[in-house]
Amino acid sequence: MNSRRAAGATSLLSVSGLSLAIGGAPILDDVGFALAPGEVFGLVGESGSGKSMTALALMGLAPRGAVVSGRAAMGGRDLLALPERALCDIRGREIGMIFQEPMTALNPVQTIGDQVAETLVVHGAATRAEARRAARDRLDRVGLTAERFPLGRYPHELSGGQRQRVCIALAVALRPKLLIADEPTTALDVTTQAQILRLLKGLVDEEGMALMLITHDLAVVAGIADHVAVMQAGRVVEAGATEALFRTRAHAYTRALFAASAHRPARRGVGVGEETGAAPAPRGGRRSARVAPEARPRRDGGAVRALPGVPPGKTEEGAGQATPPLLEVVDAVRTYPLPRPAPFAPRGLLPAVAGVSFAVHRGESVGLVGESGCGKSTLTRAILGLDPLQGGAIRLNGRAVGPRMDNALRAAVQVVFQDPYGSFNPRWRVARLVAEPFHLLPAPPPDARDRVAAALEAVGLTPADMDKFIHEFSGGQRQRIAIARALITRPELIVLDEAVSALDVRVRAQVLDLLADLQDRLGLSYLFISHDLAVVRAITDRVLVMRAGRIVEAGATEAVFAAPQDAYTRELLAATPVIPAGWMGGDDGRVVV
Amino acid sequence: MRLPITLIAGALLAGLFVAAALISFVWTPYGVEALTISARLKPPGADYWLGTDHFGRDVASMLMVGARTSIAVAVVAVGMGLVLGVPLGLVAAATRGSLLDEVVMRGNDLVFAFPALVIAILITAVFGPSALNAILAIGIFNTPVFARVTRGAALSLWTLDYIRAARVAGKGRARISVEHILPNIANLLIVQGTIQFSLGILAEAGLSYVGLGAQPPTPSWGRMLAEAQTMISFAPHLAIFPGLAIVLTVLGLNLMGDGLRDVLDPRLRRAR
Repeated sequence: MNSRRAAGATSLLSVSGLSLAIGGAPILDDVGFALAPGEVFGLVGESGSGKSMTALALMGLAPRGAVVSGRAAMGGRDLLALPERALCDIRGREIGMIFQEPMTALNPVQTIGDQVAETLVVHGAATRAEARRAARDRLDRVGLTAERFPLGRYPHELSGGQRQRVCIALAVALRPKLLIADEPTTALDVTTQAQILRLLKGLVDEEGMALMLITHDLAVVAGIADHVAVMQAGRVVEAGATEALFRTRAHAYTRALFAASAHRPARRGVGVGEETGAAPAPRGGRRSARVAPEARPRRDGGAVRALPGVPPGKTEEGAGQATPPLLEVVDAVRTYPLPRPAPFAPRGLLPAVAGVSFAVHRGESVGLVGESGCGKSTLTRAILGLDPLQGGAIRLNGRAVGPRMDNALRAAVQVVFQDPYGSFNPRWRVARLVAEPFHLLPAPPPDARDRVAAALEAVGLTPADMDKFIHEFSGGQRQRIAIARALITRPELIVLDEAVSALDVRVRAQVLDLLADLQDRLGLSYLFISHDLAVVRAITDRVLVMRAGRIVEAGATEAVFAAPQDAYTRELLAATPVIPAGWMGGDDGRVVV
Repeated sequence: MRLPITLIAGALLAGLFVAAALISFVWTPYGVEALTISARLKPPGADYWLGTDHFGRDVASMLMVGARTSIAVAVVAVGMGLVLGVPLGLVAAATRGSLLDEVVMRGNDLVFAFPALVIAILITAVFGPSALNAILAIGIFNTPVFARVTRGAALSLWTLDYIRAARVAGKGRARISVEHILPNIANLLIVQGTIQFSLGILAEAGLSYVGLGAQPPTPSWGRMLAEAQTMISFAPHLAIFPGLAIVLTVLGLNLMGDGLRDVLDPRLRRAR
C-alpha cells in the first residue's frame, strides 16, 4: 500500500502551523500535514500526544478556552478561521468523524435509521422520505443489511462492531470528502477490528474519500495508511510515506515507539517445581528463539520437556512426573439466565463458561486469550473466588476455590485489573491501598509499613510514594502500584486481567519487563488474560484460546502461534494486524506478532 | 481554588438565620411570651424593628426564636433521614438484586408514596400535635430520599475495580460499604443533606401553618404566617417578615447546596 499520490499536489486538506494552547499550556505546537483525496493518512502517537486534539481543532470542536492558531486549508477556505455557522455546515457534509467508543456514540433512544436519516435532513440534503431511503442505502454500504438490520433497530440491539458500522454510516451519510476516525477500532475485538478496517479501506477506494486515521497502534497503520505522521507531545516528529517511515525510523522517538511495540521481556526458562527462580537460568535470553523448536512436537504428550503443555484433548495429567498444579480448573461451568423471550416462556440459559479445564503450574505463565463475551471474565471471577461455579471445580494448591474460601487461600491468589484509573479508592493514600490485602492475614503484620515500602521498591517506585494519593500517579505508575498491592500478601498466583491493555506501548513494555523480572525473582505464576495476542506471546509459556465458553486450543505459546490447530485460533491470528516482516528489519529481525 | 459565588451567598444567607437562632438563646429584643396589649399591631419602627402582632409581641424576637424551632426540627429530621436512610441504601446496594434489596426499596416506595403532610396528620392523629411529631414526620419522609440517593450512587461504585480488589482482599460487603463506598458518596450526601435541610424547614413551616407543628406559645414561622392571615389587609408586616424568613432561608440553603456540589464534585469542578 504505497502512496498513490504525493500529498500536497492535489491536496484536499493542508494543515500548517497548527498550534493550540489551553490556559497558556501548549497542547499542539506547529502541527502540519496534508491529505490528498483517496488517501489514508495515519496519525500515530501515545496518549496525550495531541492526536485527538488535532482532529477536534480541525472540526472546530476544540474545548472552550482553547487558543488555536495556524492554517487548515480545505477547498479554498481556512477551517480554523471559519465561524461556527459555517463549520456546522462543513461537519458532516465535508468532514465526517467517528470516535473510539461505539457504545456511547449513538443516541440510545433513537433508531439507527432515524439517526442516519437525521444527518441528511439537518443538512437539508433530503426530505424525510428520501433521507430514509438514503439511510437504508448507507447502512447497506457499511454491511448492515435490510433483512437483519431494519431501520427500526435500536443501538442496544447491536454489538459493538455493528454500532461502529452505524457510526460510520452516519459519518459518511453525506459522502464527505474527508473522514476522520479517532481510534475507531480500539474498543473492538481483533476480528471485528479487521472487518471495520476493511470497510474503511473500501470506502476510501470506492468513494474517493480521504481518511485520517488516528491510532496508537502501529500495526493498524502499517496495514492501511499511505502516509503516516508520528506525534509526540503536541508536535509531529516524523512524517512520510508509511513503508519508508517504518523502514527508516529517522527520529529517536519513532524508534523508541517501534522498539516498545515489538518489545519482548527477557524471561528465564521455566521448570516445573522450580520454586524461587534462584536457580541459574539454564536457557537465558529470548524465548522466541528457543521454545518453538522444542515445543512444536506437541503430540508427543508434552513429555518433550518439563514445560507442562496441555494437549488439545484436555487430558491434563499426561506428564506424570510433574508436581501437582498450583491452579487446577476442572470442567468449570457457569451459566446465566437470559431474559424470558415471552412472559411465560422458559428462560434460556447463556453458558458463559461451558466446561473449561486447565492447570497452571508453579512458576509458569499461562495466557488466556479470547474476544469479548467468550467467558474469560466470568472464569476470572470464579478463579478469584468472587463468584460461585455451577459445575466443576477450581482448586488452588489442592484446595477448593469459591466465594467461601478462607483468607489464607485467598491470599495465595491476587489480581491486577485493566483500568489503572478505576482500580484504587481515590480517597486513600498509597500506603493504605497497597496494604489492603493484609486484611487476609489473621492480624496485620508488625512490619506492615516496611513490607509496603519493599513492595513499592520491588515495582520500581520509592517508599516516599506511600503518603501520596493515587491521582498523583500516571497510568503506568498506577499499574505498578496495583502490582505492588497484588504482591503484598506474597501470593503464588497473580491473575493479570488485561493488566497492560490500557497502557501506552512504551509504558506497556516497561510493565511487561517488570512482570517478567518479578516472576523470575519471586517464582510467581501468572494467569495472563488478554485479547492482545502480541502481549500474550511476549509474556506467556502456554496459551489457552477461549471461545463461547470453551477452550478451543491449548498449548505452548510459540507452538500455538506458529502453527495454530483450531480454525478460530487461525482466524484470530489472521485478523491481528501486523507490520510486514521486512519493514522492521534492522532491529534484530523482530516482528510484531 | 475560588469558591463559587452561590456557595458564598447561600452560606451567608443561611448563616444569618443560624446566627439569629443562636443569639436568641441569650438575647432577644423583647420576651416572646410578653404580651404588651398597649403596643399591639405596631408597624416596623425604632422601638419594634419589625413591628408587633395582635398581642403586642415583638415580631423580630419571635422570628429569632422561630428560627430556632425551624432549624432544630429540620436538623433532627434530616439527621434521622441520614441515620436511617443511608444504611438502608448501603445494604440495598450491597445486596443488589436480592430479596433484601427488593424489600428495602419497595418499603421506601411505600413511604415515598405519602407526602410528609399526610404522615404528619397520621402521627398527629395518634400522638397529638407537637414539634417532636413534626420531626418524626419529616424524618420519616427524608429516609427514602437518602436511601435512594445512597443506593444509586453506591451501585455505580460497586462495579469499579477497586471494589473488586477489596473483595479479592477478602473484605466482606459490610466492610467494603463502610471503608470504600461511604467515603466516596459522602460528597453527594452532604449536598443532598443541604437540600433536604431546606425542604425540612419548608415542611416544618407547612406543618406549623396547619397547626401540626410546634404548639403555642413556642413561636414558629409557619404559625406566625397562619395567624397573620386574617390581618393581612391592615398589618401586612405580620405576614411579610415570617414569609421572607422562610423564603430567604430556603433560598440560602439551596444556593449553598448548589455551590457545595460544584466544589465537591470533581467532574463539575473540571468543567467550570
